[in-house]
Amino acid sequence: MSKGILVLTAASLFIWASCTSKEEIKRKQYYIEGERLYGLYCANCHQPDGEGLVNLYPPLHFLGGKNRLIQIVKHGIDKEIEVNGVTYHRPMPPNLNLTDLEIAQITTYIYNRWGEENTYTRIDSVKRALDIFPETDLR
Amino acid sequence: MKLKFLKFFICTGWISAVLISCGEKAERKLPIMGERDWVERTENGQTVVDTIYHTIPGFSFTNQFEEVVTDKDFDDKIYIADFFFTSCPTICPVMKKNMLTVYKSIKNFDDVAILSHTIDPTHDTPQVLLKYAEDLGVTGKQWQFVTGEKSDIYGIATKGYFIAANEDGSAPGGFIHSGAFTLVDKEKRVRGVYDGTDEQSVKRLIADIQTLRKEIVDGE
Repeated sequence: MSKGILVLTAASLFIWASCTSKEEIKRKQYYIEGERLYGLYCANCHQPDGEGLVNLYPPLHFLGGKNRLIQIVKHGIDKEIEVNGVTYHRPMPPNLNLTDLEIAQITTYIYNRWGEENTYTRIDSVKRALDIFPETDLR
Repeated sequence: MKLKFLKFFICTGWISAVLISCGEKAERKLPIMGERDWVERTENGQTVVDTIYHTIPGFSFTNQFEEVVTDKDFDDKIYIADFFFTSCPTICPVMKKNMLTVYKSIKNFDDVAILSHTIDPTHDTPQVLLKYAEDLGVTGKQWQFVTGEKSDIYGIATKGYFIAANEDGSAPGGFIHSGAFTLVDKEKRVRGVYDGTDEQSVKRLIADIQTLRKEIVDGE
């Protein structure tokens, strides 16, 4: 009997461990790919360390709602935005060619690096976020 | 004993040679760039050959304060020229970040200036340029942002500063241009072209500005 419990515990422990490590592997994969995409699409203006550029482009160190960020990454924004008490009014161009997966990877990178998050953003969350906001909200 | 002396001389000779070559490096002169021409003239009955260097042609543009800016305003100035547009989605932000480093390095030198030309004059009016300058943290006139006739701007970019700039519908943002920074001396001669998107190249520019300032003081 006690042997059975031991085996069961060991088995569930093993499943749990392999499960979390799978999640962790995925988080790392998303992060690394997100870092590459960030360098390609975002770092020009927001800078490699996410500090932005004076009062031209906002820093990414003060993250708000993730849905909003996902929406802006995809569709850009052409209206004023306040970040950490500073108002920025330069338009950000849309990135319509980015897939939901790529946006999930970029978002993972941004929220893991500057948002104290340690999980990855799922493609489903990206899809949902893009459905919630009408694009006109950003113009 | 003789051998020892010989060794000593060789040694000191070698050391001073190294020191001299070091010194030469520190006071190196910047090249004068572009095509050159030669003219002969007679001085005291003797024929002298003068070299004519490439210089920046005359220009007249409008700055962010809606004032006219001409080549005359740069007669006694070393300056750095570049070409950009405020809505540029690609290399301009990096260029401007690097130019900001240059700007900070010349703040205390009133014989050095920066001249940024917009290649999108339809959108980048003096008002737009002023807002851009303010958002970048630039005040005063040491760093001027100018606009003007498209043909004048593209013309002086290629022919004057050796920088490619033109309209191109297929390029992101609608314009094609190189991210170069051109260093011009007080005689309007081009003394260096640097990659404004590359931090190392910009570091070299900052050092070269000081070399150029020194060269001019030495020459006087």
